[in-house]
Amino acid sequence: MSHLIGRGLCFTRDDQSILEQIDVHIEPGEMLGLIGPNGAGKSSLLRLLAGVTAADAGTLTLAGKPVDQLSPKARARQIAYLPQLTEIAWPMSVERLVALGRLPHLEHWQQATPEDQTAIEKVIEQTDLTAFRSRPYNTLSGGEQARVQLARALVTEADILLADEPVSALDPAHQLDVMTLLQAYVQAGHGVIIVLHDLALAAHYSSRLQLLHQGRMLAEGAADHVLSDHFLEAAYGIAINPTDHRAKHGFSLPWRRIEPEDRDR
Amino acid sequence: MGVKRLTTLLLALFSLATAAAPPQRVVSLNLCSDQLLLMLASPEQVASVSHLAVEESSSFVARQAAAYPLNHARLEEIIRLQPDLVITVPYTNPRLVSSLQQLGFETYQLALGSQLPEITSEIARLANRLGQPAKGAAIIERMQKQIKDEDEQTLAERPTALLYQPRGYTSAAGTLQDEAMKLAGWRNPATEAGFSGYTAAPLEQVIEWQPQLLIISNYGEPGESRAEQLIHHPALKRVMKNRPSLEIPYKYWICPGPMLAEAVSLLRSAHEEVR
Amino acid sequence: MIILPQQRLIFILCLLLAVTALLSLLTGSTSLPLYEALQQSFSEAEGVYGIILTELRLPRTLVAMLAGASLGVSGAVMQSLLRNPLASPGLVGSASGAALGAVTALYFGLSANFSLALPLGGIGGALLATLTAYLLAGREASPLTLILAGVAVNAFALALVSLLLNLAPSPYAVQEIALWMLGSLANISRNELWVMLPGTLIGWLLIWRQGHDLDLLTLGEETAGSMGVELAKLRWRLFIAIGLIVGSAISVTGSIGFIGLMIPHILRPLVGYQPSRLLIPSALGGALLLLLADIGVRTIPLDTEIKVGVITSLLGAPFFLWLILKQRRSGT
Repeated sequence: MSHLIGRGLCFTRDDQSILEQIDVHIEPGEMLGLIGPNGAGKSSLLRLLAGVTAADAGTLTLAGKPVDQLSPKARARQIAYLPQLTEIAWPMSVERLVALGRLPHLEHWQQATPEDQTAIEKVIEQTDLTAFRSRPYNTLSGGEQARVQLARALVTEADILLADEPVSALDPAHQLDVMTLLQAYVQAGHGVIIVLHDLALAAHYSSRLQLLHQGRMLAEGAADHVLSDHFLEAAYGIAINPTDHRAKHGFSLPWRRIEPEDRDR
Repeated sequence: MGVKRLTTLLLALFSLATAAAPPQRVVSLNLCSDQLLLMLASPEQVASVSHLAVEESSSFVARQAAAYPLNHARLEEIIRLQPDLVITVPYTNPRLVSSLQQLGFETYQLALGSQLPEITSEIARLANRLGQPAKGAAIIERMQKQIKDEDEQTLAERPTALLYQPRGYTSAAGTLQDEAMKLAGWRNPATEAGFSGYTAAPLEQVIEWQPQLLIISNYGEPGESRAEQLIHHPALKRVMKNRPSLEIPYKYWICPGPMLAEAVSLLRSAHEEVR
Repeated sequence: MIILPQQRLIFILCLLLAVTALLSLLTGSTSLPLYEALQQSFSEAEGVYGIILTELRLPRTLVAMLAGASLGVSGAVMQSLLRNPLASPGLVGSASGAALGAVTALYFGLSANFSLALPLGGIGGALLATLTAYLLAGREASPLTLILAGVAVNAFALALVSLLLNLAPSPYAVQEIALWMLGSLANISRNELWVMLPGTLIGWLLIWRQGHDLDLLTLGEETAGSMGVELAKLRWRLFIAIGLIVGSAISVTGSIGFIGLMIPHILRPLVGYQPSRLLIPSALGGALLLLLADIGVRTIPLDTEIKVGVITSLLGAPFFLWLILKQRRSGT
């Protein structure tokens, strides 16, 4: 079982501490929700775990082996990374972009094998991209593009998937689709660390939550514990609204900002 | 009577003015005029020669030239020399020439002919202007004798010779080099192919012509350049493998003058090697 | 745009290249009876036509193909590596840097004693200029920033070329400024072919099989890094490769412009925009374009042959303007 464990991870940029003493772990079959306000260091943490940047201190092991002892390619086969914003340089077709996700499995001179082809077909179908498969990437809508990126990360079939806000560009329906897809991926025996801004999605889909605040791990555990009034106020400065039945159109805001006068009470 | 005398006097004065007294401070702006000036004038007539005149590789009179101030054909330099005659050539910067004339300096444009009669008549004209007709006549006589002397041994068959320069240039009809080759009893395939002047000859054509003699003429100190690499092209080497080549320093025929007769002698002696 | 299957595209380009190469062997200032020339080439007897074919036209054709292929492929590699459609050896300054290095080696006698000094000078110059432009513009620079850096490097290198040629001891040096700025294949011999061959082959080998990594760079440097691309290593490897192939080519032909810009652009839609599939077609296309331009130079009836770079620039400059307009329209 590939268990990704980070211990005491620190990261500093331009003399500014971005991450301090972070412990994080993920194992196949679970989805870890990474939440926290803007600038808390969530994306930086994901980058460390993906091997894109190196930690200044701490250890990172995969199945008991230090990650930096793996070849970059072997690491890429086991840890897939889906960054938040990716600009695609060339208007390649959907199919070819998704196929790039198989390259970590191929040697430099190798063409895609039938096995790779099967994986590609499966993911294209799962992500509902069959209709777009030969369309150039730049002609797709934002939501479709996000699905292509997700498909590219899923097709690697890595044990661990690190996804940085994969749903932030999507409409509610597609958000649910993507979360369902990731849930299925987890159930198929993979581990997923997902950065989310939507606390409701985080609470609903994650097996476990970690709350980052100013580069430190503020809370960790089940949703009930992490999303308690105490931690929400400390990290975001918000409080949960009691369900408001008088709200117009049946919608109510789930939270509100805590104003100074609230604190005095 | 008095009127007649006066007319004679006026005429005499007039002709004196047009013929002009021999100049005493002559400045030459170009290598070609430098060389003829130093050969024809008496040493004290010369005020300055161009900076190329002292270059051993291009000038026939480098040693004599070293005795004079050098100029770079710049207006300020020339004014400071206060010349009474400035010798120019057809390609002297026209703006410089007109400035000199506006400032009242006397100029003399040397004709740069390429045929033997043109060259000798220009030597005579310059000699007259410098007040040295006897010197001019002597030089011309020596030249003609040198060329004619050897002319008598002109060969029945005229082999081909090609001047091939770095950069792939050759000299065809209407050039000093072509004239020298002709006078020395060689045929120039470039001229026969209809080329004229100083012109580029594609290497392919040179190889097709297969000249019996290859003449190389270096200008200045040889250095490293693409142009000079061309002379060592393997194709040229192969075609000229069993054929002689002759090097004639460029100073022999860069300018019209008695040097040309020397070039003709050199070229004549190469006939031995072709036979 | 129709995407051609890779094999078919390569086959078509090879066919065109073969026909053009044959045409190149038949083009020159003298008309060459091919049968006779071939007979002379393979027999003991020295014949004029055999010499023209084997010592002049064959080396010239081969050098045109090698240099064109190097320029084409280096454009494809640079554009993919920097994720920048305007990157190319001419615009970034690699070519003028190579010319500067070659001029230094040739005119100051370094290559007289050691014939590899010429390509080494070119390679060093190309590498230095490329790195300077890259560092000036910064990583992930916008296309226009990189071009501006390239303009500066180009201007500086060409000014130095011109200065050095004026200072060079050879009396012919000054007249060769045009050769180095515009490039020429005139009077190339097999000596030049041998001189450019080692660097070119090593450079091509370095690029060989880097296609997957270039494909991954389509996704951005960060994603590519997470997918097993060792960026720093790849960058060095490819910059050195570009230095080797561009430096070797330019040190023999002078700086020929726009092939590295045009060819990958024309071919990219045909290979479905995939960087790895662009490499071999770009090499073939570059060889084809330079060969055609050189045939053009030899066919245009003028007293002195015009420089081959004149033709590539006449085609390339309008193309470049069109690219800028396209960029402006797409708003990047």
